[in-house]
Amino acid sequence: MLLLVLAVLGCFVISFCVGRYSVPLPELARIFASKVFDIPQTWTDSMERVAIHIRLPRILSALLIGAALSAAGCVYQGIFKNPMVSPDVLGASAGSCFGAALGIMLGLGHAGASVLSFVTGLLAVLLAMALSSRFRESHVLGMVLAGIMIGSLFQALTSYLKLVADPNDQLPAITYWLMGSLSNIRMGDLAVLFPVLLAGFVPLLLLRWRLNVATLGEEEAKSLGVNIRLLRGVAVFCATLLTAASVAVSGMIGWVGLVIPHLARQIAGCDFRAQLPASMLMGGGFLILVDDIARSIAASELPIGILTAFVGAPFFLYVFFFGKRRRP
Amino acid sequence: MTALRVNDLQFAYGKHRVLNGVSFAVSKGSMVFVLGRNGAGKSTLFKCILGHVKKAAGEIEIDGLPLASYPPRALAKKVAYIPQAGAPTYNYTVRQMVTMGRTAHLSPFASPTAEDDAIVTEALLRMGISDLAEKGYEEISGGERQLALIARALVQQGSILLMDEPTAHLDFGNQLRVLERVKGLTKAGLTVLVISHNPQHALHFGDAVLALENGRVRAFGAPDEVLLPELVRALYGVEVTFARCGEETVILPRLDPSCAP
Repeated sequence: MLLLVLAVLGCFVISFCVGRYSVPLPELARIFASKVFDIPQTWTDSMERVAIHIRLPRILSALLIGAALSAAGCVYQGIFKNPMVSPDVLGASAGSCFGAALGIMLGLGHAGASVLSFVTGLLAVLLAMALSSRFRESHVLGMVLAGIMIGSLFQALTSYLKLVADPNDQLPAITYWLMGSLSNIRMGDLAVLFPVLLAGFVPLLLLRWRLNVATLGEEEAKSLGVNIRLLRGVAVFCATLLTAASVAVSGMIGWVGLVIPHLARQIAGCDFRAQLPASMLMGGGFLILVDDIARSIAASELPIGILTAFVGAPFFLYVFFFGKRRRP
Repeated sequence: MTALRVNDLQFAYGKHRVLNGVSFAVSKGSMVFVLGRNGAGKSTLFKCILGHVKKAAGEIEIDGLPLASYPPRALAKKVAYIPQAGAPTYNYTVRQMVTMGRTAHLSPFASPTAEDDAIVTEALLRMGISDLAEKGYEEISGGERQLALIARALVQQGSILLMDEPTAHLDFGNQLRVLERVKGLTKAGLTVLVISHNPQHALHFGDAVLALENGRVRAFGAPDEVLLPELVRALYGVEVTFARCGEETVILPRLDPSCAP
């Protein structure tokens, strides 16, 4: 775990230096030191601007969003007793995408679209959960089915919006947003994002032991004295909060929430006491790295959502075919 | 002393009556075998005692107090449920799996402490699976999983264990070894109810037999008094011969009823 923390810290620092405009490590150290101490300027103004105003919010948001999506994936996979589940299983991502597309159509600007996206993301999951409570037999199956239905409903709505959007400016904006990117995030967005994510992280981390019991299924969890419906409700709500808030700020970034929890289980084991923090760290580190690649691989920046799938899909196949044998 | 008393228990899934006036009382430290065909209401009886199904009419008393007076966590400290040992979704270690039994003793946001670890270690030792503690639950055998689940029930520190077909999926030898372990627990004062499909096990290990038929109690009492060839024939529709073998009675199923032993 300590190694993991160090690795993520390493990614964090190195990421300031890489990109189209490189900043040498010693200069970087001096730029940050100058914020606290009074030292002579040995760096160019543009270096400082790149490091503080462009890369810092980007790296922080990659860290937060990677951690959020991975934690959400980890929790969903446990609660639904299914390692193939991703954070958008209950329609959170589909709902958020619709909200963002609608926001862009209505000309609300980036902040407005984000807020609307967050609201519709939550709305989608609440709808799915309300529908699922109608299923009397299997609560989990009901949730997943309702989530798939609500998700495809919102996807259809998004497709319709794309159809009627102005192909000159709105359609490209929606399309880029759906591909996911961290390039538009400013410090102001982070100031809003951070408390929302904290509200999702804290209860999950506190409940991390009980989440283990939830993976045993309803009957067993009940006989162990756990109020499984309440636990599941709280966990799903927190995970949805994390997903919707992330998607609202960065657009669709797939695969992180599906793949990282698998890797975390391989390294840290199934126990959520270790799995959840490991997932968060690895998700944060992974997204920082992928974002580094996204901004340095080509002359014009690649949407990070495309890259995560590029890296994620082969990796997932690898884990699927070779991973099981190495399990502890 | 009566550990569990069930009086005139009625339960129906919709219009389908599953339990119809079930009454019996189990004294502390005894091992009761619940026999009956598939669908006779055995599992539903367990669900009622565990409080998993609501709207059951009748009375259930645990240690002299009505079931409804136990909040879920308090009930989990009284009654432990041991499911059939299936394959898990996630490969927890045996120790982690057993530690989950401590959950009812922890406040909602707490994680197990060193004290809980010590209780788990002791339970593993008692079930003879200490050396499996760090193994993955996926990698151990069905019999070992069953022992792990019993250990999990032990760390719940309840006084009543409900076992749902603990010997299903176990090989011939493991069936007996697991039941022997469970029998040993009743010596320490635990009360055990076992759903079983093997009347031989009931005869061999049971202190009492509860035979259910269509949601009613067909017979309840000491095995050598109620577990007779007529009962087996009525419950399962097979002819059997009870043969004496030294001190033991052996139940032999007869495929050809005309063939008298």
